[in-house]
Amino acid sequence: MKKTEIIEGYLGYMRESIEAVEKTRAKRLKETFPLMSLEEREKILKKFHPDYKEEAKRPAKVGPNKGDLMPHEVADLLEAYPLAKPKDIDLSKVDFDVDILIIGGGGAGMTAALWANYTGANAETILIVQKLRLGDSNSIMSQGGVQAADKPNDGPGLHYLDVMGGGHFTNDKKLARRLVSDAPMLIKWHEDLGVIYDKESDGTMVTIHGGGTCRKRMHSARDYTGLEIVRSLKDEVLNKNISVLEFTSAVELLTDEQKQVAGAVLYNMETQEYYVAKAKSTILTTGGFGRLHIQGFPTTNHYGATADGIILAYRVGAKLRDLDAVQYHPTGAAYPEQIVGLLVTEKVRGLGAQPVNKNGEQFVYPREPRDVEASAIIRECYKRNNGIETPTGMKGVWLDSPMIEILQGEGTIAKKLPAMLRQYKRFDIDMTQDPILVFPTLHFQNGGVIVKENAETTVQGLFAAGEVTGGTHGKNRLMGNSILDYSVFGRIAGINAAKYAKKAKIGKLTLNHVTKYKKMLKEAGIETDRKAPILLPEYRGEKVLSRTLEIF
Amino acid sequence: MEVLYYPGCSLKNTYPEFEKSTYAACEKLGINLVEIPEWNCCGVVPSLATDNVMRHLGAVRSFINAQEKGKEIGTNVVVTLCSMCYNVLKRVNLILKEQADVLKNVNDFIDDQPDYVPELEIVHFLNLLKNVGFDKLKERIVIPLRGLKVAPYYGCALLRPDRPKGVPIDDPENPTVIENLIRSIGAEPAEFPFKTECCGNYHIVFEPGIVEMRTKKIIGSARSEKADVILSPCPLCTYNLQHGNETLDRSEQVPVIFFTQLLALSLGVKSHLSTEMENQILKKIGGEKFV
Amino acid sequence: MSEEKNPMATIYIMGKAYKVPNTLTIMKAIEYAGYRFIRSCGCRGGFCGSCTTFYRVKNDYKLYVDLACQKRVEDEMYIVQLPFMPAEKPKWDIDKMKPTTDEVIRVFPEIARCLSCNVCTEACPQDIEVMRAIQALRRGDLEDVVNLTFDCISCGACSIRCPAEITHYQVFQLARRLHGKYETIPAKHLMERVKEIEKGNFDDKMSKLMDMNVEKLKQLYKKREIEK
Repeated sequence: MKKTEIIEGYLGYMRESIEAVEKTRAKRLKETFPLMSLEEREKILKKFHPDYKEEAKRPAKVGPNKGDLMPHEVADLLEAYPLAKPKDIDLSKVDFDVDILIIGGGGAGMTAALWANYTGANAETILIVQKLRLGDSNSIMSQGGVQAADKPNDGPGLHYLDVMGGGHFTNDKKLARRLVSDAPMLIKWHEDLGVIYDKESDGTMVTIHGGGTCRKRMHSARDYTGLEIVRSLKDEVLNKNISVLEFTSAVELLTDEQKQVAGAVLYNMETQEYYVAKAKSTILTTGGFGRLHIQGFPTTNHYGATADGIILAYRVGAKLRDLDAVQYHPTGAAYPEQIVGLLVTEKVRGLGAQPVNKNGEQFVYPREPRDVEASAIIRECYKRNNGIETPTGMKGVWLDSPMIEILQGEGTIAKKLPAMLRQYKRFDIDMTQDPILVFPTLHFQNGGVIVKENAETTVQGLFAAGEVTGGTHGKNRLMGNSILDYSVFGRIAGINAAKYAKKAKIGKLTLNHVTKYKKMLKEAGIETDRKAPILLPEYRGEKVLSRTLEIF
Repeated sequence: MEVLYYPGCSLKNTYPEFEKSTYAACEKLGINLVEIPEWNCCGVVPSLATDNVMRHLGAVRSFINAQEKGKEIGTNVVVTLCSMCYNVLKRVNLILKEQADVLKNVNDFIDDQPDYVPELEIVHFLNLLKNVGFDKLKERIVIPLRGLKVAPYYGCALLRPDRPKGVPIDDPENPTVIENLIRSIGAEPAEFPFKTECCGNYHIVFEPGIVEMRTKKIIGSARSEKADVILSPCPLCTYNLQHGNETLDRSEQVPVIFFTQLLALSLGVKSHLSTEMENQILKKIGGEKFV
Repeated sequence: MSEEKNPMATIYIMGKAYKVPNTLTIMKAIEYAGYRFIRSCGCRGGFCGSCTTFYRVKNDYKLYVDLACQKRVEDEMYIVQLPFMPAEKPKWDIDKMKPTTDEVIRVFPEIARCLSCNVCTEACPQDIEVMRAIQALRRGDLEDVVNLTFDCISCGACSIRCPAEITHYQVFQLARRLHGKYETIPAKHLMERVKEIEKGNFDDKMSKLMDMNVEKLKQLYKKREIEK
């Protein structure tokens, strides 16, 4: 076997390592690596999690979170000048006059729109603006599932404990309580909409474990959970005639003399025109920051995940939290090159696949909380040098997927992980026969805009839901709580924004907060030609090629 | 007897009673209907086009699936119920038997399935009954429908056009197969001059007036012959005749049912008639005891 | 050596030739060539269906379809993308419908024009047997439609190719929702849990947890039993 020859998708030298994995499989089927204690977890996080690398962060120089540590990539955007020039924007001409403006058309935005509509807001008075197409979002990519404590041996209390423990007890307790308490209701809502969850023949939900769960409460729709939910929401939003403006971004929020948020300045991505959208209440559902490639990591995120929401909210005075906590999903694809960074769902481990090193040895419990699992994989590759290096210089460990077929029966992968199987088959890798190579990938913005239990931010008239918010998950989110997050708080935001809009009186539209923010930047001595929000990442030319990580 | 069975879309969606009563009757008669796996729509609309490949695809894909299943169970007979499906399947099959170039064209186009070797025989259920023998059928009748006057309606698709030769299930000018069936179950066929009149077919979609005009005539004729029911072999005819009934006063209406429903009733198995209809028939034959 | 390590491919983006590393996906290759996507790029992970790409390769008459984010470039590839599927989204009120084929055909009468040509199936980048699903619908088997089309990402490639002008992805969406809403059994344990929460059965326990200090919560967390 030649080292550089490709055999069924893998290079010869990788095949040698796969043989080692096969040799230990029978033994490993009988034993699982032990779970870490809380103390061990703390130790490995401090040493190996990218969040604990001090030189990757700096304190914010201006704004409500002045002095708080942020990754450079986020601080760069907070310390950037507005993208839109005031002279291009005519506030006297209102292009859209609505009750509720929803910025972001992913899971949170669509859920908010529907519940605002159920609460009595007319479909015509709701406007969703979306940078890509409606539904193109991280929500649609979610594969693994959604948590809800609806089985007899489970309850919101246990779910709460898991959420808090996963977040290292840094979560906003009220938000976490709301998350777990509303969970079953939202799953029920999905069921009523016609979302097809995996069920037994008698209607019982098929539920499995996720990282950091004490009960099997992960509901799924094969490994297209996000797709199945989002396409149902999208269908319903369109059926209800809720207005949607695609390929349009919000580049600035608007305020009135009372300093309450009063809509947004929109930007048509195609014609490069600005629109003024006046609204009685505004909901931010813009998602996270994966496409900022914090510390150079590849990402699972969709094309538009560029932190626009936190930039807009920050300029209008909303306080943020936990932006220093970045979630690296422990298992992103590390090979082949074409799919580096794409998600290998946690469900693969949930179904029994173990992470193993190049010698076929286990080195971590397969379902530690995400940050702990990711740290263990980084340690295995970069400290202990037991990773497998790819031709482009990525390192990774094996995820022993054939174990699933042995443990759960032949054909399980095709039935429960069809998306994953297809993704690898495209590159001649058969994950039912061979393990797959994984390495942590930038997955989720744990922190974000501070919200209260009613989804209100610290600024009047501005609501927020989903990944753009912080607090619910503390410093680390568990698998299956992001769909839940956007469902629970998308609903709450929709209901409360609709109620608020009924009473709100909007005065004269201004961009005073932007003028003030620019002044603050100048006073802080920030001289730069950086502009924000960036709306889309820059990949033209060589920038599209994936970088070799320099982690240690 | 085991035969392959092609149901067609209408029987699966609009008129399940047509199929269910047939199944019930066949079980009693010892005929095992084996549904063709993954049958396609017969291609009713495109089959009327003049292009010589595309219009046959739906039928041929079903033939291929039938052919493969037929090898498994050892038969080449495909039975169908719906008149339109029968007409299309029969016609396409005859064309393929006779025109080697068309057959080759179609087989070349369908490169994702085995070739069709035109050896299937397409048979309408009425002819299958005829082959079983109406005398034999008579022996199995449990509830003879004495005193019931039945208008046998044929419509077009079972009889016309005779092109290519061999499509009609009976004499196109004076068919008798339904009458024979009616007699064998103990009822009396109405002499009914409009029995082969067209119901208006797909005009129901855009020109329902045409359908109303024609079905009124058909129903009126059946009524003047004192028919208690009109027996239909066709989902579309049934739909149109029922539409016609709806435009008439109750006193002028004649109920329309599928021939298999009456057959099932007389065989003493579930007829899938509405309870009201079934009771009305049983009352008519003096069979209070059956009610 | 570097040529060998980084072999280049010539691709034609809407007719214009560019040299790109042949290890790239179509999406990355288009970016490498200097384009910035606004349309035809969404999740970049094979789920959203926005980057549908049609292509031919040299000496081959066949028209291929794939997702730009999932397909590797080949030398002499002719590429065009489908940024939008021209089709109205029919509105329906799922609460007032029945799970039958007739209901679906009422919304999409063009289904009846299916010729069984199977071009839709050949166009699908997700390997869905599209024609089979349409025919399963005609047979009245919604569950079969669901199983055949669950992986549909609504990219519209089938619909652009269909001679009967069916918008399959919309048909399947309606079929899936009808099946999900009316033909699957609601989870009893879910309904019960929702009622228990509404009644406030967990309120006391939750309040106690909320009042606990972190140390105590940590003790509870450590002690919790992991379901086998």
